[in-house]
Amino acid sequence: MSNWFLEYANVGITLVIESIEAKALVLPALAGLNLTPCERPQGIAITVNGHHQKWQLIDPESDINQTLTKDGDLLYHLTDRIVYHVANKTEGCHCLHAAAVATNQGAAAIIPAESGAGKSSFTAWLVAHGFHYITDELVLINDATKLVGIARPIQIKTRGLLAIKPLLRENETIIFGDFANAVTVSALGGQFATQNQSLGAIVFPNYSKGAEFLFKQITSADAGMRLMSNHVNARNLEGHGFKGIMETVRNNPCYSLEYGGFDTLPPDFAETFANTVNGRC
Amino acid sequence: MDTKKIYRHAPDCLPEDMDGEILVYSPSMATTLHLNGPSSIVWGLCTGEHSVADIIEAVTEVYPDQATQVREDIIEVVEGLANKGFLILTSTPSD
Repeated sequence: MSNWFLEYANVGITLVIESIEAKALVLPALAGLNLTPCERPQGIAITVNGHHQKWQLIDPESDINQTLTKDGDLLYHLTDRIVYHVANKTEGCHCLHAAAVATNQGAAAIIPAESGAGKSSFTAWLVAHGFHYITDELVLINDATKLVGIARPIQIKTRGLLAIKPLLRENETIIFGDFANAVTVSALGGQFATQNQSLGAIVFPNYSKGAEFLFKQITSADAGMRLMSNHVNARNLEGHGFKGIMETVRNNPCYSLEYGGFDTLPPDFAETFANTVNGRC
Repeated sequence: MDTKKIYRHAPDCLPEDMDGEILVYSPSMATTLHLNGPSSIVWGLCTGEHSVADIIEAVTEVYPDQATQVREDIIEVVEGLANKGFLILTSTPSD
């Protein structure tokens, strides 16, 4: 058994990994979470045990005891527990249901969207095109617009796999699950962003089959409404963090992206996106 | 609706001007509203000093050809904001 500690915004979580097989799967996949070994569990303890085809995930604080048969599902549900606890307990900054990537000039794009809008797939595309990975699920941002993210493996639903596979490096694979499939940053030939990036732009994506490409700046009122709907720890903050979120929107360009698949993105879109994000730094 | 009623902003509401458009957040309702056009006018006038009738009269002066529609729109907006908890009734003054 080994204990691995991680902390975001003063929320400490220990992964208690009880089997060699679990350690072999979990530690490499969660390399982006800056896990550090510790002697005893600190903070919230989440236990992982078992082996391929029969994993056990226990989160006593949430009264969860799951048996999972696919590696991808273990990684999904384990990181989902981490995201939940961080969002549930964070008080010192805003938690946004959003992906995020950074340019090689250190500017970050926040990519908020509801589940199913394609933010994880779009994030995978960005990482494969040279952007540095911050998160595909939870962004933590303070009022000075410095941000970090839960850098879990990018979670792709089965319906999105066909589009992702061409982005993978040769001989790299996906960690499959029934609920979601884990795509590591290394499989995309990408790299993790350093922590505490500066915000450069906010982009709200929406994938819809058959949709034409449209990338346009939106009003701050429109962006404010959208961003508040993705603000997941509002109740932990004074005034539900409303003023801070509005200030963030006012001070950063906000865009919407409509697209019907990666083949609808212009050939130079990665460059356009980078220039958009870098424009504020 | 009794247009003699006077409404004011719910005390916990947080308005923000976003480049000329108003967003208002209610922590108690955990809801954000986007006010523009008639709703932003109504919000601006619901200070606890003007009745609904006063507001209708003021807006009708600006749009005299649309008096009926103005009345309907303003009543609808006030009722909507009140039902969502963003406006509270201050008083119904007697004649």
